[in-house]
Amino acid sequence: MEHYLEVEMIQQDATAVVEQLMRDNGQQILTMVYHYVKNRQVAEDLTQEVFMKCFEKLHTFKGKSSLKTWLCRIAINHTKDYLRSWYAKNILVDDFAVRAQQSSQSVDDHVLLMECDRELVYAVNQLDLKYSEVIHLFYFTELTSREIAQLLKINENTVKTRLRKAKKLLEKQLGDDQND
Amino acid sequence: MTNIEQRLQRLKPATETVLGEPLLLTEQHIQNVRAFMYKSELKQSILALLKQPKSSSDVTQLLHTKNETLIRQNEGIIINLLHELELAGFVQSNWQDEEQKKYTVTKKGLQQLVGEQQREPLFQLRSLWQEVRSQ
Repeated sequence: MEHYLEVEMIQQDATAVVEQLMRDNGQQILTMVYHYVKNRQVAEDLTQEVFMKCFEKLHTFKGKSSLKTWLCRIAINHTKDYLRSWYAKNILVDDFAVRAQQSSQSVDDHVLLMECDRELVYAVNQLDLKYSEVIHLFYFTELTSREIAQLLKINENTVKTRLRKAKKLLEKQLGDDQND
Repeated sequence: MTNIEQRLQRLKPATETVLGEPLLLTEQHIQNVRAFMYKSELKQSILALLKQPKSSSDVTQLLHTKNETLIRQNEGIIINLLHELELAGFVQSNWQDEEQKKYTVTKKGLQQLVGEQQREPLFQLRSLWQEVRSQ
C-alpha cells in the first residue's frame, strides 16, 4: 500500500508541474509549433499532444537542461515527426498559402503598415527552414541564441551565423520588393 | 541593417496581423490535457492496485474511498480503463470461482508504473516543481 501512495503522490506532482508549464509556456509552444506546421488547427492539436507527452516523460527528465528547453525540444521533435508523416506531406493546408490567395483579391483594403507586416511574414516564411527556424525561435519565441543552440543541438556560433545570414537574405528580399 | 532588426522585432504582431486573429492556447486546450492527465493518473493508480488480483468492483470501491471525484460521477470509467489496459497488455484477467473476473497487472504493465524502476522521481519532481514556480 505504501508504494501505491507513492505513485499517487508522484502523479499529482507531475500533473501540477505540467499544468504550471502549460500556463507559463503554452502560448509560446503553440506559436513555436505553428511556425513549423503553419496551420492553426494542427498547431493546437500538436501543442496539446506535446504537453501530454511531457506529462508522460516528466519522470525521465534528468535536469541536464532547463525544464523549458526540455519542453521546447519535445515540441520541436514531436512537430518534426508530424511533418514527416504521410498526412502532413499530402493533406496539410498552409494557412499562409490560403491567406496569400485571399489577400491578392483585396490588396486595396489594407493599410500600409499591414502590407509591411505581410511582406515581412512572407519573406520569413520563404526562407529555408534552417534560417526561418532560428529567426522564429529568436524573434517570435523569444529564446536566446544559447537556448536555441541547446534546443537544435547545434553550436551557438552556428545559431549566430544563421541569424546573420537570415537577416542578410531578408534584407535582400525586402529591399528588392521596395524597388519594384 | 538596423532597419531589418527593427522590422523583425515586429515579427510577432505582424504574424498575428496576417493570420487575422491571434494564436491562442485556450482554456479548452488546457482542459483537454488535464483530462488526459487525469485519465493516466487513474490508470497508474489502477496498475498499482492490481499487484494483487482484484475485480473491477474492488478497484472501483478502493478508488471511490480515496475520494476520486470523477469516479463518483461515472463508475463505468473504471471498467473502460481496465478494458483499455487489458487491450494494451498491461493487465490480464481471469475468471475466479467461475463468477468473478479478476484483473492482475502484467510484467509489461509494471514497467508502465512510474517510480517502479527508479525511486528518485518523487524527489526530482519536488525540485522541478520549485523550478517551475520560481519562474
